[in-house]
Amino acid sequence: MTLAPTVPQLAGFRARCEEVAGAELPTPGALHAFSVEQPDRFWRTLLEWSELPWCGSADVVLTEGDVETARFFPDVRLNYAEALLRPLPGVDDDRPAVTSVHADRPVERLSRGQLRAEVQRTAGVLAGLGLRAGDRVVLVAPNTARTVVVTLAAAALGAAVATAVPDMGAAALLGRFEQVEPALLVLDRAGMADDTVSALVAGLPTVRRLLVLDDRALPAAGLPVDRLADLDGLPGPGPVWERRPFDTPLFVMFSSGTTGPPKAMVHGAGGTLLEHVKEHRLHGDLSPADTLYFHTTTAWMMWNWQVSALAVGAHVVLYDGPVSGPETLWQLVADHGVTVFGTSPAYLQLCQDGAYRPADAVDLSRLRAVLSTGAVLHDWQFDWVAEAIGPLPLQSVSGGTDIIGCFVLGSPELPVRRGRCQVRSLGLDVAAVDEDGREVVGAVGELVCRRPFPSRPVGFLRDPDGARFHAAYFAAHPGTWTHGDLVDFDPDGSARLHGRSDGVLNVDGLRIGPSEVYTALRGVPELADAMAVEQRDPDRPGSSRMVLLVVLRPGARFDDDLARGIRRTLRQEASAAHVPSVVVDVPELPLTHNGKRSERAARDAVNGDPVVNAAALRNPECLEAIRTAVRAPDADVAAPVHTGPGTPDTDVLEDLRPLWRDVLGGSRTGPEDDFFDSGGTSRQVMSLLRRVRLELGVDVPLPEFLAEPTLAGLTGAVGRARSAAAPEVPLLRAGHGRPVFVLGDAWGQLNSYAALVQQVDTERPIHGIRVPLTHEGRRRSVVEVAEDAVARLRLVQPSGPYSLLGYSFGGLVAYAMATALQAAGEPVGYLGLIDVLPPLAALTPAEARARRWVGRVETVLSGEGRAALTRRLRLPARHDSAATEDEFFQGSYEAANCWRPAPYAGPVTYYLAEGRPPLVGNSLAAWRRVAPHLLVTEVPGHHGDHNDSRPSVLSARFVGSLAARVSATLR
Amino acid sequence: MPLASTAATCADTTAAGADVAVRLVDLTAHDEATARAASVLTPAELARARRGTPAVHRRRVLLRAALRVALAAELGVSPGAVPLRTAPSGRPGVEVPGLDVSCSAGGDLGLVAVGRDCRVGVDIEQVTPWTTDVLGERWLSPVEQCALTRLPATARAVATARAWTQKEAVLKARGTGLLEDPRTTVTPIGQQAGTVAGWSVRDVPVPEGWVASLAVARNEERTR
Repeated sequence: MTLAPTVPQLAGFRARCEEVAGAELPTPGALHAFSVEQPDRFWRTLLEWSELPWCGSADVVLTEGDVETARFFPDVRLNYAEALLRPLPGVDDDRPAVTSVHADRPVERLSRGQLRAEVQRTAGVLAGLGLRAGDRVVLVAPNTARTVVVTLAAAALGAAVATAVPDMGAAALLGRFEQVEPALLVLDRAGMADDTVSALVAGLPTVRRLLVLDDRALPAAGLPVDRLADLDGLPGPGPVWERRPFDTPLFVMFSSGTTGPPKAMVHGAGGTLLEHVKEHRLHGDLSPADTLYFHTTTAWMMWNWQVSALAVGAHVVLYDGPVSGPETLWQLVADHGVTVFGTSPAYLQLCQDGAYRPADAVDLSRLRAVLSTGAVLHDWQFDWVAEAIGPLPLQSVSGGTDIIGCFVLGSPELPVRRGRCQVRSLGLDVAAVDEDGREVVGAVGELVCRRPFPSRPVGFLRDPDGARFHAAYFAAHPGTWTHGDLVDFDPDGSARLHGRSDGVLNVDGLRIGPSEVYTALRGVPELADAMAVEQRDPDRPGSSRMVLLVVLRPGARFDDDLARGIRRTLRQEASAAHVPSVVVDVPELPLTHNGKRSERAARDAVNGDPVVNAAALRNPECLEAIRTAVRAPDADVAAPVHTGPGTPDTDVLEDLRPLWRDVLGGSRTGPEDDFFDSGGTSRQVMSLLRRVRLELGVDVPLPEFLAEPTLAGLTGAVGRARSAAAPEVPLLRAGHGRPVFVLGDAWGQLNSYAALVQQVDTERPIHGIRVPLTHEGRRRSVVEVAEDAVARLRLVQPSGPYSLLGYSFGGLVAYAMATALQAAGEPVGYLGLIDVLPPLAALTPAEARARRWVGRVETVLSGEGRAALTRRLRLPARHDSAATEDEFFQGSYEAANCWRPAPYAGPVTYYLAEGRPPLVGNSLAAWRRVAPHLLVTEVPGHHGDHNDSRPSVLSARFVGSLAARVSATLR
Repeated sequence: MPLASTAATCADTTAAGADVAVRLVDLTAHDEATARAASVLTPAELARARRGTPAVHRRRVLLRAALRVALAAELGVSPGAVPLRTAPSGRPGVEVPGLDVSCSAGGDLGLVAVGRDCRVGVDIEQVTPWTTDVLGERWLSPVEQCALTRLPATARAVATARAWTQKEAVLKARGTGLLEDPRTTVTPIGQQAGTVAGWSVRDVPVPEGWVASLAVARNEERTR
């Protein structure tokens, strides 16, 4: 085993550059400046230093021209496969090159020697099938060693390869590959629908032969079909390693195609190789001592990128299987001694939301770096990695299919700054520019590359005059590559991505970056996901407005309250300009096959326009739901005001309206009209708040009013002020006497009590207590939640006796509060638990076993939960909302289950759901052990939670009985 | 520039030696002049103006345009090219080192102030009749309330308006606006000039019926 180099390879390379430059290049910035200002010297030095196999002359590094036209190394010849598979000095040919992990069959491992022999043999087979240099191959196969072998064999012959995953669906596959005009079609049909094969063959008329990699029966396809395993190579050593020009087509890659048919970009062998070797060695410090796993599919450029790690002698792990939970990939990392692990922000978030701590769960001792790409990596994710994984660099890298590489990425020399990509890619003159093309530093701009770079596509297919190529990258700033991403660079060269620039909203001339909206919405616990899109304003031709599509966590309910909360959060965390005109709740957001969000498709849908290329989407069916939601008459929640049941808001609004009108001099105002837009002045605010104090007896703090200076906002502020200093303890129903408190669920949500609050027959006021399980990104224990809840409770009712009522998780909190109040000597008059399972920690081992068994039965019974889970398993790159929900519940169960309830001497009224499976009956024994005065009342209905779609005891159908029982106890 | 004709300039050198130019702006232009003024605004500025009622829209357009015109003269560029920004707090800012701006509207009159090497805040207010309601509005400190009630009744209306503009001028100069409790900024009731919380504050001459104040601190003197 080779020891990891102690000095990064970058140091040796820098020394070479200093010799060539005749100057010191002591800092990352100096080296980067040299790399872009003296491209001839930089790229030639890189080619020579890298010791890649090539022949010809490197005298001409770069031909005349700009990014669009200049060509690199016109006289250099090389072979990509040879460069990846060549024997490396100091690296044993028996060292593992590729480890292929599969869900359904044993691990397959190939040494460098075996891989080389296998590629050589396969190249012989492909040549025997008639594949020639200049041909194109379409390869639809999962991320396995076989796929790598076929790719390299085709590359060795000088053919270009386009890859994709088998479960993409015929329409999407044809949308990409129809342009490729392949000579050979290679399929691994695992996970492929049966009719996809015939559709592909029919849709790709240039295909001369079909080669299958799997063991299923050969299809009848109307053209010659072979199985790779059945074929022998041509006798004798074929001309496998022939070196070809630098720009020989190597890969055909595709844009996501949400703005039209996917663009088929051709990447050259030399540019791809040089860029990848540069990134792996200089930025990632990848060496033969490393084992790389980058979680990707064959449909994403990161697949090609990780294959190239063979050129530096690294061991590459491939995985073809589902991601069944946060543990899957970390287990893979541990099992195979991965040193560099690449993943996505979504996966890291899945782990964080699931309260999964990789460092506690698996052995990560060999891991030295975590890479992340595909979306914007948030600040808090850096904290989480440091905490839950360890003091490793978390390198956020970003580039694109278009350049088959990265614009900004890691550096072995620099510490990682939270939230930022460390450096610009060497040799790439990357900058952020404003609309006039001027470089901006410390501000968000359009990401451009101003000088030629070798991994620019050689061109597009079906674009003979280069017009589409030009339009794609060079129309905005001639002579400069404009990538379509938003980025900011700091003076230290670090960068942060801000999403796609075509996702930028232009609302009445104001440019709004959606990532700011999403960052602010992170604080709204009811939301699983959101997408902000621009819509032509139907009421004001020529104007546009913002529509916010939100995906709720199951259990959360979309109502005016939530919409107002979303607006308020955006106004406070972002700005008034970030407040959407319309908020609608939709089941799913459109995603491309790579799991990237398609704002373009959503925009077309909200505008009622045809979606240009629905085949580019993984879930095109979501578009209809979006169209319907936006068309619905109640979609626009900007106008109506909160009128929730049992809440005094409407009354308050009507009380405030005349004051508002008086102060503004009689002008008519809608509830969402801004005070200042209506002509109000700061001085008049003082007058208005005085009137509110006098006439409603409520002191609204000035900043509260200014945060939402509308009639509706003031109504909300009055409500909040009335809940004293306790906004987390909203009044759900007014009344007289000692209040009754109901405890929110794990999200702090009170929605599930709406019907109960309405129907309980009591004079007493009812308050909710909103204390979510997750607080400032951290999951709390039940005890912490209860302490928080007690503190809030005391703001509204300073001393007992208290009345507490909770369902499910809220019941656990109510119980923990009661024990805490009891310990503090405060009387608790009433503690009601609505079908609250005791935590596992409170059960005897036999009861715990029975519970787990029942849990399994219930999960199997509830088809919907399963379906959501199954969907997730098929989509490894990204967690959908159902998965997040599942993870959250898992987390809340964990928090709940590890809590051991303390003894409680007072009376407890337990409302037991009749629909509860009998086995669980004995869990009441666990409650009785800690609370001997347990009075059990059976109520009709089921428990009902995210995994149990049957109506719960709180549902409209059954709540009447529960309300009657609760009313009787309260009387 | 037609806009300049409606703006009276009073070049102003404060006691602190800071260089501030304050212009009075007529906010009652007819539609054509408003449209002309709108042509120098950015889409974001127009969008903000459009959110207001017609009267608010007109005032915002004219005031912002006047600010651009004042800065254009200072910088030697066209009004549309002035690098004027608005901070999230709403405070205008210009991306030129050493230059600071502030503006205010009070009914049909506006003020724009441009400071060199100093931080500025201006505020203009229409004088409204005195009523004791003011004392319940919770923006005057007890000391100020006391001082105000000691003034002759006929002087209180102007003194109240002045106290408000002095406070607003300081809060605007600071950049906090009303997010800071106005009671903590104590003004010298009844006086046209003085020092408020380290800011040099003085009256800006405006027509009868209005009161306006300017707050200034030189860059090196400004502590907060």
